[in-house]
Amino acid sequence: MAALQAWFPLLFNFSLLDEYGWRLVSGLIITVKVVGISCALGFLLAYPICLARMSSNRILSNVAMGYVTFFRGTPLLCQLYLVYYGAGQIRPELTSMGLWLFFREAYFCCIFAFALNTAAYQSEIMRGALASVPKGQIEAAKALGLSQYAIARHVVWPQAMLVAVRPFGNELITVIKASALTAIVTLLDLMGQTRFVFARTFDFSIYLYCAIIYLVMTETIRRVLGAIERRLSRHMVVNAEVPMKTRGLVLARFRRATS
Amino acid sequence: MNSTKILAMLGLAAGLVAGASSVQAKDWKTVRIGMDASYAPFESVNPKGEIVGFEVDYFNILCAKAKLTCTFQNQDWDGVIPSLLASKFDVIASSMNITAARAQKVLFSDMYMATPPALSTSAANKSDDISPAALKGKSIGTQSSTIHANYLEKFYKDSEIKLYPTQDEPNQDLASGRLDYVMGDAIVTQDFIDKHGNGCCRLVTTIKRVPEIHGPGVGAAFRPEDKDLAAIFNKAIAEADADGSFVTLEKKYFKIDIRGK
Repeated sequence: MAALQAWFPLLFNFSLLDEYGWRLVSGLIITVKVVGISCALGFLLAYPICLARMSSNRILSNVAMGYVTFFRGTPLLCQLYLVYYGAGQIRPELTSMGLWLFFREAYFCCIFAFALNTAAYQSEIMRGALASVPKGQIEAAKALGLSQYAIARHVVWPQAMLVAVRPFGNELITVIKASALTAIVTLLDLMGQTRFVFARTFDFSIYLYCAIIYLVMTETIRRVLGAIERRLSRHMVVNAEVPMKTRGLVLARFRRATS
Repeated sequence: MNSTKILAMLGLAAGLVAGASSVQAKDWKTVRIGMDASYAPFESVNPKGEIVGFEVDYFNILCAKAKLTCTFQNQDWDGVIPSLLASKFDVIASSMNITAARAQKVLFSDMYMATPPALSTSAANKSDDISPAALKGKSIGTQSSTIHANYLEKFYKDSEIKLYPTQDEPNQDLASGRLDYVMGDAIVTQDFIDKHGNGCCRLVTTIKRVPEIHGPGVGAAFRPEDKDLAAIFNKAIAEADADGSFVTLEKKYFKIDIRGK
């Protein structure tokens, strides 16, 4: 206990927060904005990409596969540099198209690069989830005379959503962590502000605070997702008395069976 | 893992770090020099992957005078002081200006050069007015954790200040038009404009050093406990001044005097 007391002030320098706490808060706001907007845009982009990927049109599905392969197969930092410094190199062309005002800002460059990247991952999550619904069920629904929409709404989506919830959450967590890269292209997000404070104070406890904030964010998301998953899978539990742990097992078995 | 185990491991790690530095503290024969080699002509990486530049040549002279074998390591600017303190190398020779904030963490040698800061802008911008009022709302880029960043934050509060990991990157963004101005070392700025600028940019003016921000000039940095090593280098710096080897080397690289004495 005595040793702990000696270490504690070394690890946590609280006076740092008095002076620089607001910087962490303003950085956090930027991080949340970049992640929120790029994930939402990525989600919207992912659906058409996923449909194209599953399309029977060879050209369409190959283009979508090329897109997914590129964005999943190259480092996000490389993609961010391509957008940020690449845009700088072709400025005259962008200006003539009226796009320079967009690409001039590091903030928009980051959202652009992140949205394209996460769209590739999210489209694959959607594809996997949709494919996990047995074809026989869809045929059965058709035989019952259900409309396309009714099949999607009542047969495919509820089951696909259950499979997709956790991977979507993991992707969101990945993007939150990856958003620290934006600090490299001058955006003062949580990581950028942390680096700024460290450059001023050379006090590493600021990195500790930064890590704790990221951890709280990701852990919150993980727990919220757990709750959503339990809610979506409540029909799969025969006995309401079954403890949560067993429900998890049931769900895991279901996933294995359907993946 | 329980907390006793964690504490034991932390203690062990601390012991290892302390042990590693105390072994080397005496009798200097080889010295590892760390620098951020993205700062031509002072230090940069040539196409062969070697670190070259004025400070490399200068420290080779100092090491020869002190009869030390010196090796050079590249290290990101943001991490130079932490890496020095973590014994990744023994000296920082990276155009680091002696400031009060840094002196709380590291031990500085005597000042060996002092170069003026400068502000550059696009070639199309003909205005020479660089007063904070004139630059209100304009974007100004510079390298983070530098005296230039501190200067901008103090005097150009109403401008949009953008901080980059290296000085090369704001220069690129000035060339592409993303920035209105760049603050940096006058010699590094001029080097970029001459070699890579393609007529994009011009140096507006050099700026008078403000002692409480810019400090007296550039020094080598050591771990606080390595007072003996700092003394060895101070002696070598004085010798290089006295026998004219600094001036000879300086003339090879620069048209102006950067000794600052």
